[in-house]
Amino acid sequence: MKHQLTAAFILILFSCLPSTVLAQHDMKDMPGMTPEAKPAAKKPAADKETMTKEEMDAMPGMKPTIPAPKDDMEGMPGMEKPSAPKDKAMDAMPGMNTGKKSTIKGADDMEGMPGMEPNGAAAPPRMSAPGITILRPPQKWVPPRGENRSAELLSSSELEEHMRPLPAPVMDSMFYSFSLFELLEYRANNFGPDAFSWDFTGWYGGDYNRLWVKSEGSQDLNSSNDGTGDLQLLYGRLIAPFWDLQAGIRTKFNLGSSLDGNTRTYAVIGLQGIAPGNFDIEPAIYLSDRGEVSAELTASYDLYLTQHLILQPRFQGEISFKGDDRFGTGEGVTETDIGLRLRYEITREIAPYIGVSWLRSYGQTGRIARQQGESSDAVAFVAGIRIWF
Amino acid sequence: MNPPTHLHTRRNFLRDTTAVGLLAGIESMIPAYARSTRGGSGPIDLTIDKYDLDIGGRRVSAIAVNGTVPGPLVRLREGQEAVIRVTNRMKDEDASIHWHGLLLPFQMDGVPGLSYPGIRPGETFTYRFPVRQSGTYWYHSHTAMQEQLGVYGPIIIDPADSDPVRYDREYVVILADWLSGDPEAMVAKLKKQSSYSNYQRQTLGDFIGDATKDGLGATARDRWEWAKMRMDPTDIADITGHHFTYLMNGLAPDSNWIGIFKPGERVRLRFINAAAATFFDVRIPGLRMTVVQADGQNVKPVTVDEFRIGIAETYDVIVQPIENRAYTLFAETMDRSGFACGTLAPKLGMNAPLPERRKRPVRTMADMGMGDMAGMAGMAGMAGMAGMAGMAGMAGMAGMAGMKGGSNASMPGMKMSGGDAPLMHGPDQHGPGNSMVAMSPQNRLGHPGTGLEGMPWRVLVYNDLQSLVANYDKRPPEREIELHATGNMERYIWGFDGKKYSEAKEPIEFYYGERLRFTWVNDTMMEHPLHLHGMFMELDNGHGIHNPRKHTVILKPGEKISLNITVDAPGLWAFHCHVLYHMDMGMFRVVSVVPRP
Repeated sequence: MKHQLTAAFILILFSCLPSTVLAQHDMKDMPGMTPEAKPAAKKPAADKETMTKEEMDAMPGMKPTIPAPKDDMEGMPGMEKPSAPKDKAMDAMPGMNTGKKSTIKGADDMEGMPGMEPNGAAAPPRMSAPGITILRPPQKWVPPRGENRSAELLSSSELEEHMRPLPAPVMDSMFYSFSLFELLEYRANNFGPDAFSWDFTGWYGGDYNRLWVKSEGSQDLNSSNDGTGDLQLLYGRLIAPFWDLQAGIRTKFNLGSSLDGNTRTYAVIGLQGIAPGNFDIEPAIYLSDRGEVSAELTASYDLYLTQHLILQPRFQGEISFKGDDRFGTGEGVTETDIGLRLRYEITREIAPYIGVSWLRSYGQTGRIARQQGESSDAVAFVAGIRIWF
Repeated sequence: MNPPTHLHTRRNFLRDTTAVGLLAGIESMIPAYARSTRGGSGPIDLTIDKYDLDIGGRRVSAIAVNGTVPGPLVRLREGQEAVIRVTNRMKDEDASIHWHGLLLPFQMDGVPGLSYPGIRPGETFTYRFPVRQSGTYWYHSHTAMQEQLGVYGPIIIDPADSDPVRYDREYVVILADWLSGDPEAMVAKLKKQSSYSNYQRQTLGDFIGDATKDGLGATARDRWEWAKMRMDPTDIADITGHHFTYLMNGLAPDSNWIGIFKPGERVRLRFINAAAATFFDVRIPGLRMTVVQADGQNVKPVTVDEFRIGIAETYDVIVQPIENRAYTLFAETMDRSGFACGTLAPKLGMNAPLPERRKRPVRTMADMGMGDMAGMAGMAGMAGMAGMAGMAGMAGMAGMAGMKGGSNASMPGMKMSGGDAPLMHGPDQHGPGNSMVAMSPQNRLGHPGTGLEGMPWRVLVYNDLQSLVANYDKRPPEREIELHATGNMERYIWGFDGKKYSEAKEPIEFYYGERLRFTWVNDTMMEHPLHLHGMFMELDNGHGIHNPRKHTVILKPGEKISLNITVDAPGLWAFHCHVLYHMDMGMFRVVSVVPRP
């Protein structure tokens, strides 16, 4: 049972390393896909100063686009046969990397694409990509009377001079900050003491690079005041449209009297993003200062019942590859927390909620919990507020 | 005979905040022929300052030109030299005025960072340029978020010769959106939650409703298609009526702007969309509108019942109300979350009912760049499309094998123009700054746009627009420059080819005197009104030498279009999305017109 759970958990965790992320890297790493090797896709004018017309003509990607036959799409195997199995159709499509295939194959495909051949011997597929295309030689222009403005002409370098001291026309790289208490709640446990728990995520930074702060934990509300919590400081980088790769440090600490003074420091690497289906996913792997390895997955989904009333199923699970007595954890899947919370967004930022949470610890972790007089299988009614600013 | 320059300034009204909003309305109610023309062709003075105004019944802090929102009408005459002195009376921030759609030396274009540094506090900048065109235009600030805060106003340039458009009376109808709160704060909210302002999302109730109508399986599949792409089909506007009050000539719907007419008169309405982030669908129930001008350029008259006006576009229409009754000017937002409205009536105090509001539309697969596959009932075949959102390239294409049988004919509103065969998006997915690509982008100039499909009346489409006079430059284009409008909705990043302006500051070079084909592909699911400063673009909608000349063109989701340009304006020009929030987030490029190498 334990092993099955462990296996399932690992499966979930790594299936969350989205194919999307990997696929995009494939695309980027493909030879022939880099800007250097693909002048046509370069920013227009990027090379203008060094490029003569002849040179441009000589460049493969700059050839005049020859209108492709109208039935290009039909010409693609797999488009014709409605019943073609997916994979087969994919394989047959030139240049269409699935992202799951090896990069080498993808690259071969790309190079094999007729449109990418220097001489354009075969009919190019109609591809739509940014860039400059020379259509025909320059033609003489006869401006209408009074429309000749050549006296106003300035050279590239003169325009550069003109622009240099001026402020930026748009400010598109500002830094912003975000603070979210996803959970800030009172837990009325059916077994054991009631508790207060939190889950905080915050960031500061720009569009691609951010500094993240995360903290979660729980504090018993009885005489012992037992509790645990963690604090993470991470650097995050947007590596794919929906995915942030995060790395940094985490410190895990005990609160209260009985486990006082125990802290542990970890290196963290994780992902945060949105998986197909609009699931918020946050897998992370921790390596402690004692060589222990563990992993955690948080996943949640927002179901809009109305424009203000939102039901959020939430899953959190931890898996340990080496136990840690001081934190009362064994090996394997150590803990899962399955919650269902119903929040009302008074504004988008402020949303009180109620819900249930089923916290379960497994195997050795469960035994340790029971030894310490806690429950290994507890259902809590929760009430709290989700708040961001 | 009349002095060509004309400007309405009402300094004594400046502090009268309740009258401010009305000003534009009353001004516009004065027929053009009855307006004062005193003042001659001397310089025009505009002053930018902060004011507390009443908008939509609330006292708000605005930045206004000569104390009013919108600012005063700037009226010029073709052939004169315009001299406009703009003073920044604000103490703590720079200002600017850009003359939208005007052909002038780039130093006079009013874009801080390209034309000049902007106008510092307390300073006056004198714009001086020959007026080389006629028509309806507008002006607005090009500094930070000032346009959203009230710095905009109309421009009318009377033609040097007789006007081919015959009319008895004219009104400027300037549409706008007023944000409750600070626009910078709204940007910060959108960076944190891009759906922040959308209160029209699909809910469980909608699901049950759709499942009852279309069947559980079909509805579940539809929802899954979108969820897999991590896109929201109700994402029509970034900022909605939840945060915006929509204004007609500075007046909220309750304040009801009124234009007076005598039954039988030909009334020219000069519509200007000066909104920061709102598309309007304009109609006058009971009256047909004859479009005579688009973006200041005369077009062959086309009579419609409704038209969509993109941000920064202008349309002049002629209406001829015969009956002695009131009519409602109704400008509903594209996402249907609100409207601006006013009344045309024979006398003050008359009102017409408001038309019924329409339901918020949803995006279709055509908007996602699925081309011909769009709108088909059985979307099950597209099961593989999820890959697209994740940039897995064409992972989903195989699924479309089953879509081959789809026929355009069965799809109302999907009439294609231009005869462009579907094409494929290239392999470049534009990086993490872009969250989808239009896999099969196509010309949708015959499509009225999201929310206007299947109307029981005639809706203007871009294919209806034809230049009244033939364009003089008959040369075929010699170079084509293709740009893709891109964005990452989740992070609220906007740009071209996956890059924000700050990541691609190098100017795009146009060569003086060349005939250029400018091609755009929309890899986002939003409309982008793209605006090129300094030069008109001839939208290639299949009318050849009568292709309409425009300064701003809506690029629909899933669309690929081309515009031909005679590069005749030397200097540095801005090219950007006119959704202010998209421009400011990086959907902006510099075009430099330089000598041919």
